[in-house]
Amino acid sequence: MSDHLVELAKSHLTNIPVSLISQGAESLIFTTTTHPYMETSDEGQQYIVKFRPPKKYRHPQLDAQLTKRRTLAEARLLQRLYGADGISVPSIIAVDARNGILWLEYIGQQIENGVSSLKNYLWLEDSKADYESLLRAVGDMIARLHQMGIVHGDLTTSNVMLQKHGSQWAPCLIDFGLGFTSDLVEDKAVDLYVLERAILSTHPVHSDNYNSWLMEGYKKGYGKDQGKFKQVMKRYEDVRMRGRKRSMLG
Amino acid sequence: MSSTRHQDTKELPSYEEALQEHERPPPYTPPLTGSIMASITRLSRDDPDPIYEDLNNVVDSTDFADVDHYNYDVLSNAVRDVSLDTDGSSKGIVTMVNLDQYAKPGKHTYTAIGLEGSANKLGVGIIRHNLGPLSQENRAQVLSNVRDTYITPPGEGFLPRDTARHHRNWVVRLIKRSMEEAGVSREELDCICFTKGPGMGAPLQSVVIAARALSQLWDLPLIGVNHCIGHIEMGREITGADNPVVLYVSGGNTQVIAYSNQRYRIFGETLDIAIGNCLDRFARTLKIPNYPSPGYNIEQLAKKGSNYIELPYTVKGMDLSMSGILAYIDQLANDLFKGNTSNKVIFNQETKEAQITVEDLCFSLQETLFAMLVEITERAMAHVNTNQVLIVGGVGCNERLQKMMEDMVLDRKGSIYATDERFCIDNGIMIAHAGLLEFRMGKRFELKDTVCTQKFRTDEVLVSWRD
Repeated sequence: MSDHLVELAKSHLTNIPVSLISQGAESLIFTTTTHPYMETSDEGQQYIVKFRPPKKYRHPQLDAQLTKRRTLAEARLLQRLYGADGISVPSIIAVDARNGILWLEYIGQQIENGVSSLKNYLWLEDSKADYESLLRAVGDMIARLHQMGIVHGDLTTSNVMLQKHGSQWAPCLIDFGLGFTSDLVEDKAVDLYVLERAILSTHPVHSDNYNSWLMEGYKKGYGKDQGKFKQVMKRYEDVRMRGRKRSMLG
Repeated sequence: MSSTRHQDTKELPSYEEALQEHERPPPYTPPLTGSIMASITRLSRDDPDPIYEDLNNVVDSTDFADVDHYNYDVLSNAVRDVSLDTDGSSKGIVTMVNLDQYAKPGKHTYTAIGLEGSANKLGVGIIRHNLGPLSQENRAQVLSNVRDTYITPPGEGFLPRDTARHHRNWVVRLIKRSMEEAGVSREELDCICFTKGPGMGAPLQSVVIAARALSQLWDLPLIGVNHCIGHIEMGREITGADNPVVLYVSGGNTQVIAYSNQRYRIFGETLDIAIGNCLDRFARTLKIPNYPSPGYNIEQLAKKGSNYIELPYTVKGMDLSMSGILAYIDQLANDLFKGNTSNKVIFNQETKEAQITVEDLCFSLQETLFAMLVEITERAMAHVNTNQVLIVGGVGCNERLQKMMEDMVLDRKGSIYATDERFCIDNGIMIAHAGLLEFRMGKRFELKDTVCTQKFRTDEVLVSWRD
């Protein structure tokens, strides 16, 4: 992890102690105990600061535009989704779109192989009793998201965090930077296709099981609205064929 | 040699003679106006322009004098390794798989010839492996690597039928040339490797037929190789990258690949056209020469552009889409040429003067497309927790792409591996190398199975030679 990026983040967050916990593809994730505008009553209460650093490789104009667009998109979607029925996302505390900074509720915890993302959890063991129910729950949540007309845009197992509710793990969706509002069947189908492919490449051994559990959960998430579900499925098959059938020259 | 069966071969002029007569596209006359002319006229092979110097080293039909016997040193010079890694995780390819269970007793080396012709390049290469696992100390030796490219006039792409004819006309001469270069007799060869797919049907077929004929003639086994695997394995061998995320970018493919469980898994890819295809087609719109390659000419134009024009940016999760960008920038270019002054992006609405040049368009196209590529590569790296990147495929020669990737990798404290034109652009040696690996693992093809296919996914191949 690059130190000058951390320094840059700290320069935007004067007098706020932050510590880096991970470097994602496009953002640095920090934890802090400081709330931006309220006195923290609870000792040990933590918050997430998500910083999208400028990318040196991109043209500055393109970079500024992408950073702003994605930070704002994420903030808007999180705001809309917070408290929605059957959907769990981190709540948003503060936004600084120009500098690419989001202040979020702390989600997840540490497990044996890192943070408690679904990816790490599925990598823990070959099979666990609660894998099936977890993946069904994730599918269900995605269905509810789609029914609200929201497309995540980057569904992977690293973008699903797990939270302990009592002794049970419950999923929580994060990273809506590529998310957008759309009621098109096409966009939802592509969203599912991206997830299927992510599972295939990240969890190749059990991908069949995982995908079918996700799909069952997705179906259930549509509840009585099975017509909509069928439409998405029909398009989903088309999208799949598109990916596989594409002629590959060169 | 039973040349009676191959009257064709006998009547052919020598390579040098043929070169004299070999048809090249007519001299280029710039149809465009303004600054583009200045830059195009510089794209001549005799021009001592420093940008061009590098290109003179490319093994291409017009300058076979430059083809040298690649030995160790030359091979390592080919590596543009920006190694920032200090922990030494890139020390070489250590494989636990026994590659010698089918070795012939008394023989210390394996030698293979590879034929590649999936698109407009016809390549023949001969490679040699020593016994034992490949490593930095025991590297594959490139004995010869020759290539001929079918070049079309500006504004035109290569059609399958004509490309196949080009391959048929040149394959025998190239094979002879390559054997000569390598100083290898047919008795020393262990197998003949050919591109099974993916690629254009007609060119693939003509090369498969050549491979079959050779196999019958010389009584050698045939090995069909996946083109993408060839690129990846050759890239790994040349650069010594251990377990990188691979960005495979060429005229027909755009994939981000990582190895896991004996397969090269595709993490992200294009949902419509390939990056090289996008660049080639834009080059056709601009009517710039296809020689030495359309993408190279766009790169040279882009170096002179500075105004960034906002283009669509379409990353979908790990995948990307480029057809919309192409349609948009084609429209801009057409408006520019036609002088459609109602276009507010290109023409200043008050003075009615163009505020954007062709160079700016090339520059913006490259910046946008490459930013998308680097972004999905970074996603894949974060996803599989690695900090090595290997760039392969024809577009991988682009120095701007390499620079952008390097900038990204620097921020992740990783290393980037890229090769030069000899190994990035389609070549026979990579087919020979990947095929030889399969051969060493005991894979054999029946004659009836030596077919080619236009669709052949990278993840369909069982990578038996890695653990």
